[in-house]
Amino acid sequence: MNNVEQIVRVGIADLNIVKQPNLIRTAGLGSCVGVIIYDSIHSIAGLAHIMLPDSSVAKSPFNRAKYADTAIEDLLETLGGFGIYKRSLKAKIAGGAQMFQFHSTNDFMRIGARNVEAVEKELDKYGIELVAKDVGGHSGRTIEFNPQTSMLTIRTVNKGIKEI
Amino acid sequence: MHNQNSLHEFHFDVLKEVGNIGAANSATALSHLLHRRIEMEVPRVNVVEINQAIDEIGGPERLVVQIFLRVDGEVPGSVFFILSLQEAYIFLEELLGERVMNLDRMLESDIALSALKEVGNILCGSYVTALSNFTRLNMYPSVPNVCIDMLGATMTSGLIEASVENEHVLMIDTVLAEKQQCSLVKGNFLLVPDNGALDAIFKALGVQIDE
Repeated sequence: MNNVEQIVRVGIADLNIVKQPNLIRTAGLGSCVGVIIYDSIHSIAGLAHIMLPDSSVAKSPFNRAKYADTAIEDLLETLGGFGIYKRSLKAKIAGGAQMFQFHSTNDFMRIGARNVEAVEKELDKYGIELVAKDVGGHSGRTIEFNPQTSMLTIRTVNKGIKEI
Repeated sequence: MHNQNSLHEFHFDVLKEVGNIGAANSATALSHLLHRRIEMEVPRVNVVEINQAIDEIGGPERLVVQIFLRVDGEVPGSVFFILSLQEAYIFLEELLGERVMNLDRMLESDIALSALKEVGNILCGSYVTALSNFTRLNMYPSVPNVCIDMLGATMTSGLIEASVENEHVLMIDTVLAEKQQCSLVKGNFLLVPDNGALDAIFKALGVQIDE
């Protein structure tokens, strides 16, 4: 009975990896971005729930999974430990919504868009192909990735479920 | 710049009192609004990691109506009033006289959303005003925003400023509830001061902080 499907849960500002037949999931993405970096040949995937674009604002010691730059670096390192080449990695992302509509010049209020930009820039830097994304809007998302099928299931409160 | 680790039991007591004063004023306002008797629980003051903060209020996937506003001035921070859907329907019934509210109707009704915003304005406004009077510090609440979604999504967006530099946030949580009808109306009031904002509160109240 070692083929029982389990769901690996990733918290906010957290990351983890999963191998088939298990699934990986993170709940309640608002302005945060969920990044899945996966290898479809080995059916292995990593997921990071990123809260902020850039770790340069952090005071040490800090949680590396919280920021786009350090979280993606750590995900790649962990995946590299399984003998996977960066060249065979692909990515899917979801999140980066704007939950509140403030009429403010405050940069924090467009944090969702900035998170998406930062994640895309990092993926580009490592030459990882971004296969699909579901970003922006005003809804929270719960996402679940199946490394066996490479499908990302996205659930929102009022727009139902979709797959990318 | 204070460090959250330098807070002692005594500081938490002061912050509980701060939460008490703010929420008591809001409870009075809420009671006028709903024509019901509203009671409040003793505030809980915690320094928590963000996942823990969300778990304490029901987990990242709990569907909530969250009224959120920013406070600028000498005590910058975020104020949240969090209700479940059922509680929001009760508010709307009382305020608009509309009985059969459901999620779709609430999301599509400009009047419902604007009524919830007004509830937030009154409750959060009276919370902030009480604090400002008590500490004699300038606090300017923003226009409130209402957001109906998963708690994880709504809270992280509001907590970003408090958590930019720290992994932990300080949360003053007070529950307002209507006691007569078995807590039919129950909401969490959260005050989350930004980094450094606590210094201003303690200084204004003449409380020492170790460095």
